[in-house]
Amino acid sequence: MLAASGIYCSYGSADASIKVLRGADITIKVGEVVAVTGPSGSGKSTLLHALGLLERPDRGKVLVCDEDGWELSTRKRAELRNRKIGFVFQFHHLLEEFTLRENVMMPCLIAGESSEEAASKADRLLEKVGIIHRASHFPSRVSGGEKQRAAIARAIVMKPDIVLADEPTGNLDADTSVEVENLIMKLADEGSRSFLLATHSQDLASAVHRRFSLSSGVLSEVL
Amino acid sequence: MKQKLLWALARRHVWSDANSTVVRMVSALSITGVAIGVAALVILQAFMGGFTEAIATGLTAMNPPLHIFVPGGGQMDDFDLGAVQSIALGVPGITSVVGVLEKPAVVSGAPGTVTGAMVRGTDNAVLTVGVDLARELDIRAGDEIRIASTAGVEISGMGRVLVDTIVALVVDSVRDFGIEEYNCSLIVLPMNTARNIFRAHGELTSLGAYVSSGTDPVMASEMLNTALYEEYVGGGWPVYMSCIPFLAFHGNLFKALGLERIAMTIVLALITVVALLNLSSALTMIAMEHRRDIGVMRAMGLSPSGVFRISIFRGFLLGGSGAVIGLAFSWISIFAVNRFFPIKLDGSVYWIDVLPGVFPVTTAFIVTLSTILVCLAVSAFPAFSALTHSPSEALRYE
Repeated sequence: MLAASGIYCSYGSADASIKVLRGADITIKVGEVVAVTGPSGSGKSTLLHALGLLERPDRGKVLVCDEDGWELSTRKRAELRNRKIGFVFQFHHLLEEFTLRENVMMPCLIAGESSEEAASKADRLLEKVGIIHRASHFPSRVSGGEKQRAAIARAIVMKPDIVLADEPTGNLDADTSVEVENLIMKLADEGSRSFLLATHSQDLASAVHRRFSLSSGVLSEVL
Repeated sequence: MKQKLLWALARRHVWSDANSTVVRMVSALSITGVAIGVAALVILQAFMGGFTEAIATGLTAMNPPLHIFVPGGGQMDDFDLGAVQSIALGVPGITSVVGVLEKPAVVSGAPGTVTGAMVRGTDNAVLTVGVDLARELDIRAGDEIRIASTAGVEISGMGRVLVDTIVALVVDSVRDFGIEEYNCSLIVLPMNTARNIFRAHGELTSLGAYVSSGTDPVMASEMLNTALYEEYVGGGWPVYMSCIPFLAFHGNLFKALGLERIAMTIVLALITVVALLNLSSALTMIAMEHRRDIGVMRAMGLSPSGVFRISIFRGFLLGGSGAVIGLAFSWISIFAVNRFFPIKLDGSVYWIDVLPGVFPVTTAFIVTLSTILVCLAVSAFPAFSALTHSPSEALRYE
């Protein structure tokens, strides 16, 4: 499903570069839920961005459904992201000028689907995550938990093979975090979709199939 | 669908109820700036062009477009008219040639009124008096005027005036010639009557030639000049004649108006440039405000060309809206000024009493189109800037 090998990432100029990832290797199988934990600034987001084809690593290979993502053209890579990868961000990152329904429709519209088809899919998912009554509300008018639920619905609306979630509960209070964690685990249990979660939450990390730790740029599996 | 999505994104980035007040204000100010710039340019061209056109129309309405004369003020006669006719009618675009006899005279109307006037005799004319001159003489159509000329005076060997010419005539019409100068001083009457007044039988002061619509008078005058010169050099007749377009008599005026128009256009174009600079900074600000959103869109699979197009569409929406609003505002302003708030002018200074606004269709089209094109060019900077950032960088940006 998703395999990365020898991922090196660094920031800054050559003489003052900060090495964030030092040869990270990870493989996620179909239906597997994997967590990456580590302190703030350890490079969890960078790892997710590299695996999600958002940030080109200095070195290394990322295979998404057997396609080398970084060898594709920019256009093909964008299409791969659209169809195979879903993203959930810590701060939901919903588009403020669009309603929750429109936000969820967005990946379908980017894929070229009709607005009716996209709206129908969006409504089904909003129903599933329990916020259909907020479908026509703008993000500024709903709670943090509802925003994150909408962000999760948006991430899975294209039925991606893998969902990359970057601290999905990091910005929520304890009760809402539990709700969102339960939602993620419920979606993960549905089967064919894999999840890679970067999280501080021990509860969430302990509920997944496999767990990795990222420290000083080195990614290692916690056995 | 995708194109529709990109337009929707661009539209909501520049204007949406969910936008921050600052973004909406910046968008509104940008649109207003461009609208003012476009409207200022179009309105300027409308009134400057209207003024020039009104004067040119007024001048040419009372005069044939081509003026044929003997350099140095030499006299012409009916023979010259016939000879020139035979040559001029061979020049493409020239439709007819007429003789003109024009001399100053003294005229009186109601008892106690007397003034100087320019009397012009031409074929197929009726006695017509300029509206201001008629007012000064206190006459209307059907009233009688008396015209006196010293041109027909004969002096005996003893120095005594033997014949003075005073002719009483009934006015056929009083007319607004469109130009203050003509309204104040011109009397048009039949050629035979003019010759009687001036005792100038067979004599003409100049010739005039008319051209068909669509014929350029300048071009026609050059061709006729060449033909006249060849006839003179070839020995056809001994009088050298010259032809110039009538408006060339007022060439300095039209050049001055043209220069003034260029200067004002430059000044107002600078307003538009300032508006476009404002638009540029607004687009940059809107792009920065939505940088993270663009990162999210890229994460969802939007291609870099999609990002580029959103940025260009934003510029098109702001610049295009501004240009269209400016265009509409200028049309409404010109209509309102012409219809409800006419700009009065001192006719003795400006020749016309009211400043007419003529909506300049071609200029408006060029101004609007070039403004939109510049807006697109201006939006290219944030568009390219958006392309240089990786999605990851945009997502980290807070």
